[in-house]
Parts: sequence; C-alpha cells; structure tokens
Amino acid sequence: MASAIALFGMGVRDILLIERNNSLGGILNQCIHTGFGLSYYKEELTGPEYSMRMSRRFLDLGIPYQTDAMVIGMEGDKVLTITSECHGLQQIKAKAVILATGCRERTREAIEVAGSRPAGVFTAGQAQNLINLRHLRIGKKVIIQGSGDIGLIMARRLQLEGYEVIKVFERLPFLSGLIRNKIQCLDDYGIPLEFGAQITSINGRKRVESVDMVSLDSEFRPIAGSEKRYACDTVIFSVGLIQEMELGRSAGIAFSGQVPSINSKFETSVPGLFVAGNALHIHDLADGASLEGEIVAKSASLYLEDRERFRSEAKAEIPYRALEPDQGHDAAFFDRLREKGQIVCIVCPKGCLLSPDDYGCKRGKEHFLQERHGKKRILTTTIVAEYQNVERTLTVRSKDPLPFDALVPVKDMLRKIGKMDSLDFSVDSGGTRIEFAAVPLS
Amino acid sequence: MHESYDICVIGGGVVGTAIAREATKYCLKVLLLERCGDVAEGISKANSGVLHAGFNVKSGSLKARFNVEGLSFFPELAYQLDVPYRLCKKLVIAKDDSELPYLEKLLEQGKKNGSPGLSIIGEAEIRRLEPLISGRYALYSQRTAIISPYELTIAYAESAQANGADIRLLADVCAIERDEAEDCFIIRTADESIFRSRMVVNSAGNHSDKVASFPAEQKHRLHPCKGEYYVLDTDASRFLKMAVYPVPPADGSGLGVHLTPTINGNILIGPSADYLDDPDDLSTTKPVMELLKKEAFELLPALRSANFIKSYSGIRPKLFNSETGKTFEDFVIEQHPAFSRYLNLIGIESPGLTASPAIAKYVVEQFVSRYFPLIENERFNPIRKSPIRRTKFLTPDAIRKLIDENPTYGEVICRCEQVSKAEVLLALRNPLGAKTLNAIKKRTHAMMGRCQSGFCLPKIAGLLMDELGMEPDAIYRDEPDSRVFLGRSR
Repeated sequence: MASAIALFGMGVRDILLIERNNSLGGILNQCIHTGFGLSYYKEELTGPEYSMRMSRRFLDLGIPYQTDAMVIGMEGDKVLTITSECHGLQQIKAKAVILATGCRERTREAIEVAGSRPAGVFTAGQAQNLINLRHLRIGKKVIIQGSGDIGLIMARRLQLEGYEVIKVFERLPFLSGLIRNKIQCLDDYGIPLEFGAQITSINGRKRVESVDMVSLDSEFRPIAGSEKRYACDTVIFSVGLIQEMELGRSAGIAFSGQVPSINSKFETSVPGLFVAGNALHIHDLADGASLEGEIVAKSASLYLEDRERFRSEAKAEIPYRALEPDQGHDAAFFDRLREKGQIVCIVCPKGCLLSPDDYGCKRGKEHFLQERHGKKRILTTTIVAEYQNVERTLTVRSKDPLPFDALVPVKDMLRKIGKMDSLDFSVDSGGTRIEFAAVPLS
Repeated sequence: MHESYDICVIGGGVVGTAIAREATKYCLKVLLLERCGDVAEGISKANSGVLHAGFNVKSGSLKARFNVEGLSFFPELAYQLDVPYRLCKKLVIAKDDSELPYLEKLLEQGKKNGSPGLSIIGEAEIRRLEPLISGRYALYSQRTAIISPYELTIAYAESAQANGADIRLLADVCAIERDEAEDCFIIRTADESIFRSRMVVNSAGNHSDKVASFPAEQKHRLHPCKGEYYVLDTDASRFLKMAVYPVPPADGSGLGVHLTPTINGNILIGPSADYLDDPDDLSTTKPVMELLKKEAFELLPALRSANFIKSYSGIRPKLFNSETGKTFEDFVIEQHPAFSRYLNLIGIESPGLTASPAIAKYVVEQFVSRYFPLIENERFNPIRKSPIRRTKFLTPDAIRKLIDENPTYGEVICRCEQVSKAEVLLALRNPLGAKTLNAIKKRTHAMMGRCQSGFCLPKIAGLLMDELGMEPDAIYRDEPDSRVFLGRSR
C-alpha cells in the first residue's frame, strides 16, 4: 500500500494492487499488539490500527485493487496471471511490477528438530492467526523455540489467554528480538527464557506430549549431559523468516544466495521488476518496510517516466545489511539488570536503561516513575461483537495503560461485549472507566 | 442384527483397497475396514511412490512375480482411476568400475524376472539424461515410473465404493472370532461395532501379524523397519527428472541415498533402514536426518538448506520368523493355519505398491474363488474420475474454464502448492467421508508446501468450521486423538 500510495502521489494513475488475503494490510491485521508506527506515524499503534490508517489513505485515493486475488504466475516480460473467485482468471501485462509479498516463517525443519509429527506444533505467526483472528484454542501447555519478536509477543498473548507458557528457548547466546519485548512479554509474566538451548525432538503420537531439549556450546554443538525433557501439549517455533520470492523466481530473477539481486533502484535482474519490504529483506519494524515501499515507488515511477535517466542512475547491486540482533543482550546482561533492579524502558524500540540520573527522554521518565509505582500496560485483544448490525472480529486496545493485575479481568470483561455502537468505547471496571479503541477486521 | 458380508478386507492401504476393488468386479458383498479417519494412512502414505521395473527383487519370488505383473497394469490402470502417473525412468549409478558387477547382476536378475526396458549405459549417456548427476556407469530403467501412492489408494477405494463395496473408516478391528454355526467370522471394532463376514482378508500392513493372530495364534511376526525421508521443495525439481539410486556402499557405510521425484514435483531423499520394536514409531532421528542431508548435498551440490521442507518416516513391514530367527525376503499370502477362509497378507513391503493390482487379482482369483462362485458384476465400472482438478498443473485457459464453472477454483487457499478453495472443499466432500486434515493433504497437497501449513491452516480451519459446520475440537490430523484445536476461546 505504501508503494501504491507513493506512486499515486507521483502522478502514476494506472495502478493495480493485488492482495491474496481477504483484506488489505497483510500480516499486520493479526499483529494486534502495539509497537507499530512510531517512526512512520509518530504514534504507537497496533498492527490493525497501522494497517487501517494506511488502507484508509489508500482507499481515499481510489487506487484500484483486488483482494482474495493471487498472482499464480509471472513471465519475464511481466505478464501476470491472476486468479480470484470474483474476477476469474485474468492476464495482465504490466510496465512495472513491485513485489511486496512479504515473508514466511521458517519451520521446525530450519533447526532440524527430530521426533514425531503430532498435532500441536505451530509456527508463531500461524498460532497468532489462529488465536487472534479465528478465536481457536490451540493447546494448554506451551514451549516456545525462538526469542524473536513474534515468539516473545506470542508468549504474552498465550499467557493472557490462559495458556501456560512453560519456557522459551533460544539457540543464540543472546536475545533475538527487541529488549522491550522480553521485558513486557516474558519478564512481566515470569516466563523463563533459556539462551543457547534448542528443542531437539518432539514426542507424542497423536498430540504433542513432550519435547526434548539440549544446551548448545558456542559452536552450536549439543553439550553432552544437558538433555532435558519438558512435558507440554503445544510447541511454537519462532525461528526466523524467509523472503517469499516465488513469483520473482517464476519470472526468472537472479538471486545472490537466498535473496533477490537488486541494483541501487531496487530493481531485480528483470527490467522493471522491483522488490520492496520483507520480500527483499526482513525488517524489524513495519515502519521500515513502508518507508522502503515509498523509496521503491520512486524508482518505479522514474522507470516508467524516463527510462534513460533511470538506467543512468541505477548502480550495480547494492548489498544491504542483514538484520542482526544486538549481541549484547545475553544472559549476563539480564542477570546484571536483575541484580541492580534496573528498569529497561519499553516505551519505544530503543530499550534504554533507565536510572534517576538518566531517564533517556521525557517519556522515559514517566515510565520510570510509573514502573516504581506499579506496572501499567496497554491491553490489546480481539473480540467478536456486533457492530453496524454485523457480527465481526474486532481488535481492541486500551487507550491508556491499565494496572497490570487488571489486564486479564478486563480482557474477560471485553469478551462479554455483545454489541458495539462506536469503535471508541469505554467499560466500567471497579468504578473506573477505561477507554478503548477498536478496529473491525471483518 | 449385524451387517453381513461375503468378504471383509481389513486395512485401507494400497493392497487392501485394490483387493476390495477387485472383488467388486464380481457379485460379492464387500466390506473394507480402516482404523484411521481416511484410507492410505500407513505404509501407503509414506513410501517413495515408485512403480518399480522389478530388477531389484529375487528371481522366483512372489515379489518378482507380482512386481512385473503389477507393473504391466500401468499406465492403463492409472488412466482408468484418474491417478497422476509419470514415466520418470530410473538410473542406478556406479561410481567406478568396481561397482559395475553390481549393475550387471541387477541387469541379469531383471532379465530373469522379465522386467522390461533395462540397459547399462556409460558416462556420456548419464550426463545427457541427468546433467547434474555424475557416474561411470548406470543401469538405465526405462519402465520405472512414479505415481502418488495415496492418490492411487484413494482411487482404488472410491472405485470399490462406487461399485458397491462398503468402506468404514475409524473402524479399528480389535477382535475376530469364528462362528461355526453361522459359518462366518465375527469382527469387532474398538467402537463396539460388529460385522459378520464369510471370508476375511487381512491386509493390515504393519499390523498384519497382529490381525493374523486374532482368530488363533500363527507363526509370522513382523519386524518393523523404519525409513526416514526428506522432502525437497518443488523449487528443487529442476535439478532432477529421473529417480537416481546409487549402488549401495559395499562396506555398509552411509545410506546410499535415493533421489526420487514425486508426482507433485518434489524430490524425496531416502529412505534409511532401521529396525524397531514399535510398528507405529514414525519419529525421525537426528543422525539419519544429518546423513540424508549430507549425502543429498554430495549428489546435488546446487541444493540449499531451505530446499529441505520436511522430514518424515515410514515403516516397512519386514517379516521375521520366530522359529528360525531369520528375516524372510518374500511376501506371505496364505490362509490362516486354523481357518481356510481367513487369508493373511503379511510382509507386503516394497514393491507392494507396484504389485498391488497383481496381488488383488491373485487374491480374488486364487483364494476367493475357492469359496464363492466368481459371477461377473455386470455393473462394474472400471472408470473412476477424481472429483478434484489440481489447478497447479493446468494451463491458464483450462483454469479459466474451471473458474467459469466453479468460481471457487479462483480463490487460492494454499499459496505454496497453489490449491484453490474449490479443491479443498471438494476434498472435504470426498465420497469416502474422510474429514481429516490429512484427507485434505493427500487429495490436494495443501499444507504440504514450503510453509508447511503456516499460512493455509487458519484458512482451512475456517472452511471446516464455516462450510462444514465442524466444531474446532472435531478437527484432527488422522485419528480422533490427534486434535489440532481444543475448542474456541470465546
């Protein structure tokens, strides 16, 4: 959407956006937690809020789009074959194509987990969709492999939904996701995290019964004698993302290793075929993907307008930096934090260490003082309620942080809402009114 | 009042369903009982899917006889049953001169067995046929083919059902006794159903020794032998067209990994061979997974780690004789020592898939005919049409036509395998009544691609609940205990 909006802004009018899901916004719609938009919208939003904000702008511009439509093939000269229930099979020749197809999750195979293949094994994003959008219970007792942001976010989500998250394992000796997510997703709930450890085997015939794990040395070799078994009925893998580049592959683009080769204009080896966002490389924040979408739109617009200038400006392949986690957030780092009772700021992704001498910023100070007083956190959840005479799934967030102990009871209270008159609403909890904002998803 | 049949086949694998179908060619009342929520849930689900030419089996054995005879039914049988089949051919590669005698031995054995289309070729010809494979010599088998083993099983079952057989899923046979007064067997299942049948055909795969002993003890014991596999992404299919097997390492080092293309466009790597005690132990093991990967990289250096999308294992029903302590090599197809109308098929391992139509014919013509007059069923229809069209393999024009007739062919549910909503819904409305996730997998390949159901499981769960009105806790993988969801959270 960011690319299409930017293209429109640059005067390109003959645009078609094709989306394979039933609504615009991609994976953001299932990411009901906050943490989006701080750099792009200068405001902390939930995934659905971010997606709604962008889709409103997109829809206001009247850019043509199709949802529930998938490009099933692309030939080198950019002839797209698209199928959908609504439009049947279409074949479209495009002058330029931007692939913003995102990424998929690695599975247990990425870390070679042996054992059986029972029900109860999920990837984090898959679990997120099933729980947030389909309202399904996927188990009771959960082990999570991977301390990436999705894994951490899901640990909290599961805990809030009444699952028991037994432990999170991380192969690396340091945290893979953002430090704020360890604080507010694991530490808040007392969920243990073990570095340098991985699930080696999943056990259970029909449904998961247990996992075996092992500690790894600095070379990722298993340490003899460190094997342990944990009883659980659910295993969630958050072990990295891979670019979805099957369309690029079918169009015959060149790759360098796993990723598409591009020039400085984000153009692949097929002229006029561009890549943006997580389909190119994994961004840690949606904001970065949106910004990249705008940059790529600029390239595509120039390509359409002035081919000669485009070619003269396009430099050889630009290597981009693969996303590397901060290697400093290891077990010793977190031990020191605990010993000193130090507070880590969770207001923004920076994760500053706060002290009375250094609050980082004004909001850091507010957070510091509040944390001393008693933890408060934003509540986000999904509910099913009637809105505008249709039963829908809505994602809901509290406008202000709630006392930590109120999160679960208030979440349960929200579930009982049968009908909503306005997307901005409030509920009464023990005499206090709590303000909420909702986004309808269906 | 219990239902009464002429023949009760136990086991919905490729052999059991083939026998059920064969029996419906005659005026017989046929029942097939399957333990799981669908047919093809055991050995017939987890094998290489190769229709063997028959050079690899000992001359004079039942295996050799039924392999070569079975192969002769294809590809016509595949066309009749609307099961995708591909004559992929096969190379057995000798790295150097020292391995040539092994190829010559295979060639000679093949000729003795009557297997068609064999020759030994040299380096240049190997390179011409499979540019990425290197070898000094190869046994080139022009009649080796591939088929989807589970789609063949499903097709046999649907054909049997359409021709009058009763097929009961989730029917786990737990006891069989002889009723002399009524001259029949009484078959009891775990859900306390009772069936009566004048003849029993035990084709229970890895449990066939157990089922053989239901009416009375008998001597055959199975020794389960696990084979682990890796599945490569369809993206890797450009590396290989044929099945490529090495000469097995003489010193027993390594697995001698087989590369086998599948009908769906994947490549299978494996299988290994490890004896176990438990016929249901389908776990994969780290050492074998590592070895399979290592040998695969050696054979095809162009492979990437991301190409390995799934590991799994299957179990071969190897025979073990408790009297001699020796493992048999051959199929056992014989009457129960105590009951002549109780036919046991034990140890039907490879080449059981290829042999299935020949075994079925043999069972009906040689055994069933002893107790029932084989009166031709005039209404038998050999043709079975798959209710599902796989859009992935169709041209844009063909897809357009399909969508015109049924617009839900236009909505893709599983992006990795390009499976439409129509394909999933038709799979769910299959004539056998299988409503498991595995039933959808085997009929459409949804959930079997590179994301391994990450994206499509939520959509498919949605279809099961919205279109079929299933409750979440009724959604399971293959057997009712393999529940994926425990209920709703609201």
